[in-house]
Amino acid sequence: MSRRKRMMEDLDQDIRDFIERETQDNIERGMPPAEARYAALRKFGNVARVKEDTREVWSMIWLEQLWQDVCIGLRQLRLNPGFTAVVVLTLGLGIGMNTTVFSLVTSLSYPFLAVKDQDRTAVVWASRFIQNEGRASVSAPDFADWRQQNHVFEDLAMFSGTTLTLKSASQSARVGAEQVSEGFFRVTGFKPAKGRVFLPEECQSGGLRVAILSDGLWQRSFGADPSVVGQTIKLNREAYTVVGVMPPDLEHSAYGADLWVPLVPDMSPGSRARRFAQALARLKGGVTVEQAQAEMDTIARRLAQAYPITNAGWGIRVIRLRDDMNQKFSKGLIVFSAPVFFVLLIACANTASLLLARAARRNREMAVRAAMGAGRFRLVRQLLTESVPLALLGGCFGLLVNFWGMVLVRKLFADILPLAALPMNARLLAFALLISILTPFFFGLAPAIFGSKLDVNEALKSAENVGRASRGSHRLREWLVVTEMMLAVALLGVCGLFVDIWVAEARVKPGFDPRNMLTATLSAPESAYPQPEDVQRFYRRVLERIDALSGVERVGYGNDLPSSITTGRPLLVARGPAQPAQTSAGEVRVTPDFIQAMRIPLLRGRAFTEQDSSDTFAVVSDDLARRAWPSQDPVGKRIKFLSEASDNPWLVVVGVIGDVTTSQRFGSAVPLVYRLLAGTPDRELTLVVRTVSRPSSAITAVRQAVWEVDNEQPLADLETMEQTMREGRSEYVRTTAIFGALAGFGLALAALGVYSVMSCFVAERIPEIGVRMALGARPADVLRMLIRQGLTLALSGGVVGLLGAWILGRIAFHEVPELRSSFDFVTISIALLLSGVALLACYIPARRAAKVDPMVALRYE
Amino acid sequence: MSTREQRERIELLQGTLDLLILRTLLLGPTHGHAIAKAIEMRSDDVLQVEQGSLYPALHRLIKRGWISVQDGTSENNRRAKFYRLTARGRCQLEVETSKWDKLAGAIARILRPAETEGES
Repeated sequence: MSRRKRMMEDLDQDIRDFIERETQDNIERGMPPAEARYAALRKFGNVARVKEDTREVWSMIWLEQLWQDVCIGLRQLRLNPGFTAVVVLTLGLGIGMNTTVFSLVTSLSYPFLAVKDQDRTAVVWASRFIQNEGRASVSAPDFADWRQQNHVFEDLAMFSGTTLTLKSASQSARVGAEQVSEGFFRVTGFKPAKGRVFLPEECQSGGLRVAILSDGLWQRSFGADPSVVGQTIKLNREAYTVVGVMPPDLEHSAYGADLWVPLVPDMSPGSRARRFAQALARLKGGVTVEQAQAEMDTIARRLAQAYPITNAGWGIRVIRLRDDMNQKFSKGLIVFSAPVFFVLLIACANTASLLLARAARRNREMAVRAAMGAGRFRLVRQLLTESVPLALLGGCFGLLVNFWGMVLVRKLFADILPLAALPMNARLLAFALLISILTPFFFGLAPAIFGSKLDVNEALKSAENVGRASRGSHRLREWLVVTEMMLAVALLGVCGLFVDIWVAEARVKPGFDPRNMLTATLSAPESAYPQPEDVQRFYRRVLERIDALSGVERVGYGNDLPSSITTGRPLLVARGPAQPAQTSAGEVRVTPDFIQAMRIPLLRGRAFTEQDSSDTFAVVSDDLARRAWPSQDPVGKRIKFLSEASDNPWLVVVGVIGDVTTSQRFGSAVPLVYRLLAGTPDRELTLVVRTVSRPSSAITAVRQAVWEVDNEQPLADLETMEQTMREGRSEYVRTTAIFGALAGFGLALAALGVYSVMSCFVAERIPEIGVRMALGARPADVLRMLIRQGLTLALSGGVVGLLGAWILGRIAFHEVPELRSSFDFVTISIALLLSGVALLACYIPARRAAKVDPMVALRYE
Repeated sequence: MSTREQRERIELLQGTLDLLILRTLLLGPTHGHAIAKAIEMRSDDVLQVEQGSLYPALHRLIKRGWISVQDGTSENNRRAKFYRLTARGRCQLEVETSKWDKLAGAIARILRPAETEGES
């Protein structure tokens, strides 16, 4: 750059020379020397400007000015630490929330990294579009047919998650296990770090019981014992041989688990209706997903023809692995990314408002710059560039927020989102940088345009350094506050919707009495109870012991809780002389006392009694009764579960009981058929205990009673029914909490905006207020006037936002009419909250104005 | 300066100033003030050289290597910066001049179509 420097020195000399010559010329024309020099200077024009333009020829002037502006920006930041802190905090939170959502998106695909060759991996679902079941599980016989008949997959595997109890010397722990079919490890490409994967014969009935440990479980429960392969472990009290240990990179990966055990397909008659497993496939080389889909469509049609009872109406869907995951989570992510974007917008609006206020104070500085020859565009550029360090600092803070946000999200949603601990990666940093560079255009452009629009003479003439904001700038700040309020209220409204879902969920009648009720799963594995009689004896003895406990009112078993059943089986319904109709219903097999123990109300006929020895009696749920016999008495009618293989007996309906809603979705009930437990005893049953008083006190007694019969029962899920239901509902609570935090933050920012605008108004109107008070206005009048102004601003934005939220609610709850009334309640609450916050934000500055001493105020100018 | 005079003065077209500077320097090296005066005089004061554009233009030409700058002594023994046409500048001047002729001719033909038609 030495050449440039030399050139600039030459230029200086040349310009001096030029002016001297011009002066000389003027003198020769007869001007007095002083006037001659002045005329020469005036003719030459703006020396600084000429130099600047010439320097531009020699340099990357653009870059240089950019650097200058950044420096000015940094100096401004240092000069106003309070301003800087507020802006960096608000922008940082806004940016951080957005990068968190970005992190979520990227980390959702992260778990799939462990799966090899993902582009050729596809998820295969059973689907039944008429029932809106786009992603349904597959039954073992269907899976076997898919696998045999297709020509498009290199391999097809099925798997199903389950919870097992791992018993070690000191304790028993519940572990998440993945039951996998034989091809699973070939499809996923998971390779063990030690040992081997399952052999084909181990995945057939009668095969050796084997297990593969995850790295995590191996570390936690086996102290990373290198000789674990070949050892025997106890799972659900059965002995399993460890054949392998998976590497650590499968931790938190999709299809990962604490341990893997073989999935022995249940090919027994009737099992085609039992859809329980997910399927994963590897496409043959050169086969597209569309071709695979076409092939599977053919197979689905063939199966529907061969097995109309179980497979009519069922299709097959082949979806590329990545698309499947994206489709599943994208909706939820949009739900979250919209509000976080709102928060960023509010933060930007707030920052813009603060910058406008600052621009008014820097009027004089800008005037000086303009007088020195800076054009409008140059000033806008300077002000805009000054915002960049602000946004970058905000971005840095945003990364911290992002870090905490991810920790929080992982903690809150550990059970539903397959999130790995994601390191800061280049993509995230790039995204944060991008937002940080883009946000100045959102929050800095308008203040820059207004800040650079000035009357140089006026600004320089005014004695005070505190400039007056222009009318336009005021108008803009008002609009910003209105927008902020609108966005914040819309956010609150969305939050209100979630609160509503939550409230509605809590209000939904479960159909039984969850208070004073305990449940637990009991199991009688073959190793401990080889004969069916042993199993029966075990369950009977436990029942008797618990029944004898003082705090227990009733106790019963069911093969499942009615609230856990979500899918039905084909059911034939006899309607007097007419042809029997087919419908579908879930089946619950219970002991006679089960229905009373759950306190499901009896609507017609009778419930089971101890004398009912035959399992040909059935009690049906109200839903089924209404569907099957709309205007007839269901008692005495006959029903029959359909199955391809065996001819099930006709059941006689003896009673109708209330509907039990499923725990997952509010308001939905699957039609149910209750039968008595009979025939081959189930090895796993759910225990239901109705206690007289608070159930938590009975837990110990119940556990003791079970252990007296069999001290190896894990009883890990022994808990009160209310606990179980709370767990099912916590997803809504957590989502509501997040939205609440977002909306609260947005509202706080908006309130801050109202406050700062009002403060500015008040500061500028002190002389006027002084005049008013000198003319006889009382402090209360001033207070009222200012508050009215502020409230008008805040509430007009609020009302628009409220309207938007209300319309949104109408659309969202179109399907669930019973929510409407409570949503109006939420709307009103938001309106009240908003008014309160806005009032406070106006009151504080207004009170300051009301305290103004007229004498001081009048001397102010 | 009367307003009438001002009205008759013509703002230089973008890039034209470069051409005029090169042409002026063809007569021999000289300093900035003289360049401006020469252009104004030779155009009978129709063309007014703005100092705001003269110096950036000079430096642009230096940067392109069409002119060079060196210290010199002027007629009245004052030290000054002298601008001199380089060999490359001389070539460029020819190119620019022929370009300008073409441009001027073309514009003239468009503006005075009747004359050209009459001639042909």
